[in-house]
Amino acid sequence: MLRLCGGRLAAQLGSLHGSLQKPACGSVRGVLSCIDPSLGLNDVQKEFQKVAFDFASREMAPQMAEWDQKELFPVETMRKAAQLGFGGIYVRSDVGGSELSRLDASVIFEALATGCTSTTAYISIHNMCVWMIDSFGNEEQRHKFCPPLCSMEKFASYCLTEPGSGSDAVSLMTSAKQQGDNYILNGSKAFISGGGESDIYIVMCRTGGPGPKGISCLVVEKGTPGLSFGKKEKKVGWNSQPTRAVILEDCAVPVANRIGNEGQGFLIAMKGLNGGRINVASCSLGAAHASVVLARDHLILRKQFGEPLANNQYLQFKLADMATRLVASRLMIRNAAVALQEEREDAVALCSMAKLFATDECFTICNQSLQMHGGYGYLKDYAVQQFVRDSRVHQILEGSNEVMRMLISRNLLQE
Amino acid sequence: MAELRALVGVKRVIDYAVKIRVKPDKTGVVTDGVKHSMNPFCEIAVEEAVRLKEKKLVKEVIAVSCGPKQCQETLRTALAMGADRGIHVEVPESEAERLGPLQVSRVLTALAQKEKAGLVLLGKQAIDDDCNQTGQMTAAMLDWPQGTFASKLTLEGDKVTVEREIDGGLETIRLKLPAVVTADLRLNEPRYATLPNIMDYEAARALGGHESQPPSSPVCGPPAFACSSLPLYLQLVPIGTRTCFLSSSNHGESSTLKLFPL
Repeated sequence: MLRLCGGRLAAQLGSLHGSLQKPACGSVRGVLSCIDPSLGLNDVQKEFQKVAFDFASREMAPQMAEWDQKELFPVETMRKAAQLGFGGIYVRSDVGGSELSRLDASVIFEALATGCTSTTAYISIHNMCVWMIDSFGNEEQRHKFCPPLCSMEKFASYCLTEPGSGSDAVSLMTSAKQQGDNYILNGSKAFISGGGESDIYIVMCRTGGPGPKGISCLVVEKGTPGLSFGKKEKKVGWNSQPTRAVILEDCAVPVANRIGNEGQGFLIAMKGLNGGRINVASCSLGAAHASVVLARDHLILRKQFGEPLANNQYLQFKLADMATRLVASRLMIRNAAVALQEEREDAVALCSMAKLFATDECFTICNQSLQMHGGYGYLKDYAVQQFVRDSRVHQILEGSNEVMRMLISRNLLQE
Repeated sequence: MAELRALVGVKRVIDYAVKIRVKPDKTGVVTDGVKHSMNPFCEIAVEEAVRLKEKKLVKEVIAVSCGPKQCQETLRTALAMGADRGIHVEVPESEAERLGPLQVSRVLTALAQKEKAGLVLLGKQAIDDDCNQTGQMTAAMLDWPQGTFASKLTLEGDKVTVEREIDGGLETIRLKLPAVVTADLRLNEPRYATLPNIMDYEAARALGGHESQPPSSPVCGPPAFACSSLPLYLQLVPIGTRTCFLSSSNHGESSTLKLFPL
């Protein structure tokens, strides 16, 4: 399939390898271009973004391939990120958070994702979990759970999906029956990011009758008797985070660990997911941005038929299309983030639209970038294939893009 | 020394990862729209100063940058890394090209005396001009001892022990404070600015809120400067062909000036 010709390949690979270590935030020449992600931001946001980009290119990008191939959960690197304030970006500062806005968080995740999309996606899930405790927990719970989570001394996982309920989340069956001061949990959760490694599990379970009003939110700590994990799943991407089933067998959880009131669980879940959708879309954005930069550099370097690929009008136009869709995705996400932080009534629909549009478009951008790399794009030595594999799942989780369409059409068609 | 003040010079240069292009008229390199950041050796100097402050050996870290308005970005980074104050010596864009080690070391000399700094920390050289002169000139003008190419720095009482990387290997010298030290690559690994630090700096800036005002007429006078605890802006403006004056203004207070030949 790949025709490798002679010694010239080594020289070409050398110059192409060079493009792997270029700063992902800007071009080789460092000149501002239309896809610059700092355009439109204020000075403070540009500072955060700079820190996040520096961190991504120095601490994450050099290791993203190893984390993916060896399936390593980069605990130390994530803790370093937490030291910079990335562990609880939109969590209140009295419990260790950075108390920034949703837009700031989107900018930060987008930048980090250019270093490693999979790890950043996990960091965003962790952030969502801490936020849930911060927003809906009582003072005791906030001060007990949030500080070690903000510093990433402990890691968190979010458990909603079950083997029998994915898109139909409301039909979840994990039961929680009150016995004295405890709830006894029985059931299993599927596809849990961080499962087995995390210390804190935010579990949505049924304390009441069927339907959304019967669901409550409980914090289950690792080591609780009755909490166990399935095998580590083998995935196409997102390999720097372990994914396991979470199994609860007569697991006793104190009532004091319930976040919010009984029956409030589904509301908490949905509010969490609005932000989670912006976060995951921002991760797609980072992957796509990095892919466009890689494609641009490749088109300038690679020569065929006596000239650089960049002289080819088809490829110029394709790159222009990719850049346009990247910027469109970015604007949708940032707009939705602002709507969410302002608690506008269209926030849910905008978050769904942003997630739907951006995850689809950004995966396509990554894929097109891979195509532009030719045979090299298919090699694991080149980052672009990892961006493709990591961003593929963003179209499926945090509410599949089909569910996003359900939410949007419901908003349009309601009487 | 709980009373020691460290003055750290930071320079805004073209980012190290950028591919430099020569201007078509060959008078220099393209800087418009090109990514700039803090000189890596200046980052190392800031990091060292902040570490000394954390060890309670230095009371205050003051960052200084000379150049046009964009230098404030570099100062912001220094403040976010942990510096206490930033001083921007403003030089208009048209004059900035003529700003070299000689001029900068004169500014640093004046500021070190004014701020009563006991330690001047600089990067060993800037990655755009590679001059490697500012530290040495500043020490000469101040008549202070110098420890250049420092790869290790230890403050003990009123002495600083500097391990220097020289052609023959490593040399260890001990200097009596006040002194000038220039940082080499292996002195330390600079930290990232943290989100809380960036926010704290922004909050302080919002409270301060000042703009420098160009003075109406140049005045010769004794060196006297208005001082404040928030970022202070000094302005360097050419008059005639060679002389410049330094003006300081803060919250619209009347400025006091000093004639300052370039």
